[in-house]
Amino acid sequence: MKCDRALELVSAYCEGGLGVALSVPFEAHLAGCDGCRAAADDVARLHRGLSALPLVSAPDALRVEIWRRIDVAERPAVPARRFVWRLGPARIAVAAAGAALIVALAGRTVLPGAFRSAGWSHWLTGGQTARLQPQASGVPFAAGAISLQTDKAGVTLSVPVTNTSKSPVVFSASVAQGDGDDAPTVTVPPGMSAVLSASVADGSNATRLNVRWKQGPVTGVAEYSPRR
Amino acid sequence: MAQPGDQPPRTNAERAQEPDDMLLIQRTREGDRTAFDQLIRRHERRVYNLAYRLCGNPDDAADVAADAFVRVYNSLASFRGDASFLTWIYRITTNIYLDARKRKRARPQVSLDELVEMDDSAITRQYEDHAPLPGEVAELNERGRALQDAVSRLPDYQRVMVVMYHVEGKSYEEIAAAAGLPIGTVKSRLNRARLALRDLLKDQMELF
Repeated sequence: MKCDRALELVSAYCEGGLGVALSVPFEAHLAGCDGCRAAADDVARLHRGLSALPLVSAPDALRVEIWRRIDVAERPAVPARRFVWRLGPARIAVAAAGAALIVALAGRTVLPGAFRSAGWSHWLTGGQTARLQPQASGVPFAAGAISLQTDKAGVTLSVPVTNTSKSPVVFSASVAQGDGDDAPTVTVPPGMSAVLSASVADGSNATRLNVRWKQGPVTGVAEYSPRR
Repeated sequence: MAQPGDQPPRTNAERAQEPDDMLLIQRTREGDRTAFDQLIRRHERRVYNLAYRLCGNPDDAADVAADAFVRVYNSLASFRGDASFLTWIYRITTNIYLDARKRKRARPQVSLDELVEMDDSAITRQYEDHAPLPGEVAELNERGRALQDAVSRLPDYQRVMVVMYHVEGKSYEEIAAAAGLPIGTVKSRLNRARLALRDLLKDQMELF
């Protein structure tokens, strides 16, 4: 047996898969060939090393991300400008909350007489309220309807959220032009609820309601912009 | 040691009561999303692990694994059950990984400073911190790192074989079914892959 043929058989030999007809000449070749003997020894050690590589764990947010992608694929008709999702630092933990929310408009709201605010005044004076309605599929919280309270200074929007996961979730809500990162946060333990509030001042240029959530390394942002 | 994302151990009685994959697939076809959620929970670790060993990093692995489940969800109508569900999703995962590699080779890299156009504004592209998660730390020993690095340097067709056989514990027959190749081709590719790994690790063989 020549070296080329011996090297073709080295894996089968290491796995005990060579029949007698091949193993006898193979072993005879190894006995006289340092190179092939070293190769067989190395392959046997690599075989053991490779098979001992441990299983790594899937990220906690993988399932959420799978459902987010499925939901996006199944709802192509949702206008993007009304519901925008941004990626958080952990890419796979894309704003999963967004995938679980459906906005449906209904009801009426009475505003203070001279309320002016970019976007919001149109939405509010149009007599609309928004309802954030969670779907199933592994999102760490459920959200209820956006409710409005008006006073002389402006309008306060409130969104009830319930932590439906097994770990605490940190929430914040803001109405801002940008991301509103400085909004106060509230940590909601598993199974508990909280009401997130954000205000729109009279004359504000704020154009978005941001609902942020964080669970460990996973972050998500749900943004709701009123219809102009 | 328990890893993040591990499911609590199940008893034999609990396992016996679980619906099999085909039943869950049938329920999913009938519109039961919780059935597909069960399939995800049951197989996500194996699928992610395959993707992780193929991609060599957790970020791309999660992307590939998520795409694989979405493709499976959208293709359930065509699943006949000739092979097991896991074999089927392994084949899909491998194909998605290979497609992604082709696209990556054909596409220039994006700058970290590139702005991403959003709805009505632009934000700077954000990237995940690749620091190992606690559950991965134990795996990152010297031998494991050396092996993963060497596997990542194998040609795609060899890497797929090595990962499925050694990491996923698939038989030659199962790999042949998943890859759509004759068993003889699988065996010869694996043999050449091991010899290639030996060359790549020739200065580190003392680790083994």
